[in-house]
Amino acid sequence: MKSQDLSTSFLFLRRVRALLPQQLFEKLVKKTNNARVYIVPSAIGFYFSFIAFVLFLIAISYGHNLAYFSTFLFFSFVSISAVVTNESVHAISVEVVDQIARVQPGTASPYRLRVINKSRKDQYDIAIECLGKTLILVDKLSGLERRDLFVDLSKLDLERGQYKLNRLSLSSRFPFGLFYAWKWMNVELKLLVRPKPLIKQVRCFDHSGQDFGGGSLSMQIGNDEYHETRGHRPGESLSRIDRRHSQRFNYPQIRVFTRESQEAKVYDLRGEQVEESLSAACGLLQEMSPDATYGFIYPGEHQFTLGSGQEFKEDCLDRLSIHSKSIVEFS
Amino acid sequence: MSRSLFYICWIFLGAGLLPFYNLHHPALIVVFCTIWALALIIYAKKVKLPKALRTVLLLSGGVFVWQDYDGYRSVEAAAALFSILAALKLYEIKTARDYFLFFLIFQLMMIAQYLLLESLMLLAFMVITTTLMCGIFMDLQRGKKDVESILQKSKRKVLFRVMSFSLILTTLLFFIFPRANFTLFRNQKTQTVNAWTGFSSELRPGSISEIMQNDQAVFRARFSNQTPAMPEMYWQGGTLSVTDGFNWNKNNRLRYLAASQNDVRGRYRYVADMAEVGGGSIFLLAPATSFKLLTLGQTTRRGLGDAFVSPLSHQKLRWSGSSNASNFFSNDPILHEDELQLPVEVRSYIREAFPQFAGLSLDRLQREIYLLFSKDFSYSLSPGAYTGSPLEQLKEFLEVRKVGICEHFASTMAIILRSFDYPAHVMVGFQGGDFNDLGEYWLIRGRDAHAWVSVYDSNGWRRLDPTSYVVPNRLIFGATEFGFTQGDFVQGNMGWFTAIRSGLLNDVLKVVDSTFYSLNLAFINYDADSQQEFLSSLGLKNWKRSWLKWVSALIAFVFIITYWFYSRGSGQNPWRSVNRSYHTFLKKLHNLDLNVDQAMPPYRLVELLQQHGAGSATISFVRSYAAIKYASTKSKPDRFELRHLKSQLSLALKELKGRK
Repeated sequence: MKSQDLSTSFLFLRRVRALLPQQLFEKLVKKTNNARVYIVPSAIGFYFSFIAFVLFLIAISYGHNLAYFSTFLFFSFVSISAVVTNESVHAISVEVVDQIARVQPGTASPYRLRVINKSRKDQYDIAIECLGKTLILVDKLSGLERRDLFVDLSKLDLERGQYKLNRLSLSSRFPFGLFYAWKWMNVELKLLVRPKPLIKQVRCFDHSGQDFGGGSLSMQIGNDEYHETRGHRPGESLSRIDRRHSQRFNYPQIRVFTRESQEAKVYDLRGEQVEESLSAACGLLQEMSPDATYGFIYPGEHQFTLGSGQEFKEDCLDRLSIHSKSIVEFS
Repeated sequence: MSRSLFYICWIFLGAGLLPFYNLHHPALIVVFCTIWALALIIYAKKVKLPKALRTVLLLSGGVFVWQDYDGYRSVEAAAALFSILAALKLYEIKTARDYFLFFLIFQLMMIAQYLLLESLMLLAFMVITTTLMCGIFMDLQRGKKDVESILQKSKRKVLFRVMSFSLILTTLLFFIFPRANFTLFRNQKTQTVNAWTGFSSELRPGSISEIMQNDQAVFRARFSNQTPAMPEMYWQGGTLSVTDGFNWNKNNRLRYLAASQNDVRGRYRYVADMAEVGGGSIFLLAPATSFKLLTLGQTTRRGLGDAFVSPLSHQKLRWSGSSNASNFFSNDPILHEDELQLPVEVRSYIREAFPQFAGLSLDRLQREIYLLFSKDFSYSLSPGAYTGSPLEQLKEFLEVRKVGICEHFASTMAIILRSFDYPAHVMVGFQGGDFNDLGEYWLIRGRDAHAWVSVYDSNGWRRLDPTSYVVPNRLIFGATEFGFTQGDFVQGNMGWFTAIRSGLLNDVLKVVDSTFYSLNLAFINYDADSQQEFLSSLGLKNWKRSWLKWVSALIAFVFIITYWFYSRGSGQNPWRSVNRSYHTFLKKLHNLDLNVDQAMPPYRLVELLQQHGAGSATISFVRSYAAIKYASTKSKPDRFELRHLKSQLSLALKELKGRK
């Protein structure tokens, strides 16, 4: 979340920003942010440095040459490992391939990132982090390698909504874990976090397929020719269960008839429990047959649109994600 | 975490403590071994020890160390406590954090050990363990379940690079960082100093022959200007002046005085280093004219060149001194009456046995003793034990067996001299040594142990060595050559090294010892004086000591920055400058409203430029770029190509500057 920083440095920066042409400043920030590497000692690094300091005190107190040597050895290991840690992330950059990422909480939501090693040297143990969570840890990135990686954005544990992600962080503790170095990578990524799927009955009306958008609803159920079977959904009558198919699939299967299959279903998501309804709709969509025709009446709306197919399904899920949610920007 | 990592930690801990078992109480070693072995059994059997039991063990360990070492204030106690803590940590080691903590406790234990013992081996051990520990950290830092970095070639390369650069920086800082001549801990150690050279405050028949059996190095000495001849090289360790007729002890009435003598720089100047850690009498070239302790410690001296050192820390003693060529030492505070002490029955026996010696001058008496010893007596490294009362032993030596080692002859001669009223005493120490011509220093071993006599005449105290009456070659050629020619070494008394030595093996041993000694001087004995010498050799004699700390900081800073640039440079894309030149060129074209796609092949660009009537320099640049980047099989452009491209670019830009 964007926090208001009132520190002196921030205020100073704001004044400087006011003096500079806006475009130039933004360009400058973008450029330096991508290049600047931040580094801090880790807890182990602090312990290690503390031991080196104790050794140093011992060395000057006793005039002990082994203690001097150990002090300088520890100091050298610490300082050189700081340089290596810094270098590990310095030459690495990340690009987003798609501008929009759709995240399904609780389910792996792969998103493609391109990681580029601009250095000739191999780099190790690079973590790509976002909002304090490690998305992926890259074992090894060979010199000048570009690699497309799939990260699981569901690890971010975000609530339903739409988010704008302005930066990712690349971090490393390589080689010894004594330092933690990171740098921010500016990205422009929109996250659509879908509701958590919920298996729950949703109010449903059948709608004649020929009369899309007419608004006349009917309740004609299964009085014509048998068409196919599908998995049982909560709330459906047990009388429609096809025992033979259920035994075969080891799960209750419902008979679907020809006329019914061609009919559109309209799900009414209105009610007091908005989030629950949206989650139920999400669960429903996940189970939905690809050729089914359906539509949703979203909370606070009266209209619906019928449709079918994968694209329509994605549209519905996107609408479920952004429903009554404004964009939250992470910087 | 994997099993192999646990076993590595387990081995680390054992290797960190057990080789240095002699620095600790045997009880601690037993307790440590028990906990250490149990940790392995518990891990292998997957038994989980309750936390309460672990706490009890920890507290018991703490109490045990407290009682055994009288508190936690000493370095030994710290080492013991850390060893027990590290062993107990093995009982609950599970996560990466536990492993990190284990290694940190282990390092603290090792630091305490470093303070207990100064040795090159420990230095090597330190470098190896730190490197291995960092290799394990490589995996732990990312929560890996197995030790891979040490085995994985590419990561091993990184580790090797970090280690080698660290060692270079460490060595630089080690030699440049200013050494102080003071210590924050000035409390003198109260514990009894060890008789670490084998000499004690008394001399009994056979005690020197025991020391002579030891083939280990005792100390090394390097002369800075002239070296005395071998027969004149007496390293005096102690003066024994109380006798019961055959055995000799130190005179406790003679107190060691604080270093108050006016040191005079003698003819033979040297610097000597003990081979082992310890304290007590140290060995000065007799007759000593000056002495300075170079390590931290408190020195007490008394006349005739005895010096006694209580070290302030666990360091190998190092001292410098000088000696004169003269065999006389006149200015000493010893009471002559004390040096005539002798049991009445012994005096009576000697006077009765040698009535012809009565009334002789010292020179005549010395001559008579020479005749006595050289005629009937023989020298042996294993003379056998003398039994009975001191008088009976003396009688047995003089009348029956007539076989002895230097201590028998020295003791008997001093008794004869005292019987005829000449103040005399026995001096113990070393005589001669082995010269290492590669390192140009003298190596004094246990086999060089010796006893001789000091007698007072009108000119002062004079050294007399009755061993030279019996076996002059022992003094002329030294103990090694003498023993070798006599066949004593072959009999197994003096170690197999000498027995099997040949010319080649001897040379190899000399090289090894010389290297060891030089490294010791460089790393273990490096002090403020050595640093001054080192700076002088670099032509920086006038540098102030206070500057050195800033120089050290500067060196560290410059080194790290250099490493950083080197690291970046070696990691850059080799074609970076070529690409940058081309991008600059395309940018210039863009400014001239000729938008060229970066993906456009250079030959197509050449055609385009020709269509637009571009000049020869512009076209030449693009062709050069294409030739360097695409028509070559090189993995990176060479310096000349880069220079050529740069000049082409400047010409092209100059040409484009005038165009619109």
